[in-house]
Amino acid sequence: MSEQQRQHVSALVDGELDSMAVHTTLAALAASPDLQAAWERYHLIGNALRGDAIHPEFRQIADRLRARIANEPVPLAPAAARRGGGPSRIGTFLGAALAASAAFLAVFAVPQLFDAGPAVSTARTSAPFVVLKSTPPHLLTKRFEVQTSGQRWHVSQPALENKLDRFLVNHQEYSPVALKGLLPYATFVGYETGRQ
Amino acid sequence: MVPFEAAPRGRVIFLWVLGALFAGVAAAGEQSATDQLKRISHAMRSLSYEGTLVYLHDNRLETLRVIHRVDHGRLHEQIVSQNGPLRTVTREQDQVTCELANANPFSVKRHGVTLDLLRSKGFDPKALTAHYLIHPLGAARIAGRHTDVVGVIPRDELRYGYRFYVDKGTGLPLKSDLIGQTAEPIEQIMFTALTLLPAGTAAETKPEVAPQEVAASHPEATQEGQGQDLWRFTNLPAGFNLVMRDHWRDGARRRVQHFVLSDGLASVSVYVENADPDGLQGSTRIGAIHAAGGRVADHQVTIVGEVPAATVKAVLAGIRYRGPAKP
Repeated sequence: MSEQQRQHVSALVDGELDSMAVHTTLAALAASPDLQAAWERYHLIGNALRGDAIHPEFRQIADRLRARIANEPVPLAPAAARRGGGPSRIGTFLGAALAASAAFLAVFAVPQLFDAGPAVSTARTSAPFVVLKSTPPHLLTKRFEVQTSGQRWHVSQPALENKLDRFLVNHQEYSPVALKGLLPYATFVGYETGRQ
Repeated sequence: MVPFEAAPRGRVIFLWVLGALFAGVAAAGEQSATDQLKRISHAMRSLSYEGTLVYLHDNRLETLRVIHRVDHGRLHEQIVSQNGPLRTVTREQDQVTCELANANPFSVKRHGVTLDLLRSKGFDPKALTAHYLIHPLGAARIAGRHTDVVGVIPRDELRYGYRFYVDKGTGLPLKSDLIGQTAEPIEQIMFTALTLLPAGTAAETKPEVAPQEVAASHPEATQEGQGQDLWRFTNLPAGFNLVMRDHWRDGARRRVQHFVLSDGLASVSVYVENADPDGLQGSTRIGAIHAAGGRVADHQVTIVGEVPAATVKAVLAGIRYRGPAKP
């Protein structure tokens, strides 16, 4: 990692990198774990200075990038086929760099450009998307079923439930002040537990 | 030029006046907030109204219909759930009738003399200041009406706090937030529509369903009864004192002793019965109301109150029996 590359990465994080140097810097970033670590550090420092939430997408950049590249379709294959020969080493390198850059942009830069607001929380942004396509219909509908009433006092004996209800009504009648208004009775009448 | 000694004296006077001014403003704010609480208490006992309420608890939203009428000092009130199984509470002057899902309707007789004694003490906000900070919290608009917001903020974790949105015109609490230890509302109740009623239209407050079991509680006496001094309450949560004791018989003619402990706002009831296989062992809750129960000297003791779980458990742990051992 040269000093110039480090400065370019810093400028890229700040959105101040000259457009002519973007491709080169992205390629270098994709190839250098040191630059990736610097990218992560600069984002964390920037978040801390601004008091922003920590964006988890800037962590473990190298591993995530490798995974993304591994899953990338092979854009070099048609070009290689057109040349009618074996893939040249330069072409392979350039293609890989371009793919890495594209992957990098797709994973990090583009979402950031279109991010309209601050991260809500680390937990939310790091939560994986739930794929529902393969979920059986009966499980899907279960998630949306209307909840029916359950046990009011979270006890399984009806006799005890009735006794506690009576004790509660008696208690509320002896509440020393009317200040709490309808709250006690709202609890009594309005309280319905969902299915446990 | 200011004389040598006049400057410090002038500063002292200035600071004194400034301090007095700030103290006066603070006292006025507190006075205003306590006045708002008195307005609530008075409005709840004197005004007639009907309206629709929403009640939010545990991420669940319920709608309630309320009719509240005071006719020549006599209270008629009915609260009916509008969601799910029909649940109602109907309060008449001396009786409360409840109809709940999956249970027979039941009524509870109110013990007139004891209740009057309790309520004749009135509401004194100043008595709350040892354990609550009563403070104005600005203004808000609720159900199309303008309200003053008052906070009743507990000074410890043994009682809940409240945030009342007091209607400027009537003094009714149009919204009430019950605040827990995390400063987040545990329960909220809010009018979405309110109509003030003229006095003398109480026909609708009759119970819709006749209770199958009336008078589950039979007042036996309103004075201190035999054996009621056998129970002592030790190590009570700060500020809680015994404010009422009574005894009656339940629907099965079993004797129940009833004690009420209060700090002036929060209250818990202590019920003492003979050992009961259906009695509560441990703790449970309904919304923000907690209950704890257990055996004490071969009696079943049950504590119920709108207080945190720690408070009902502390009351239960402090109960002592001073009478002879049961044979």
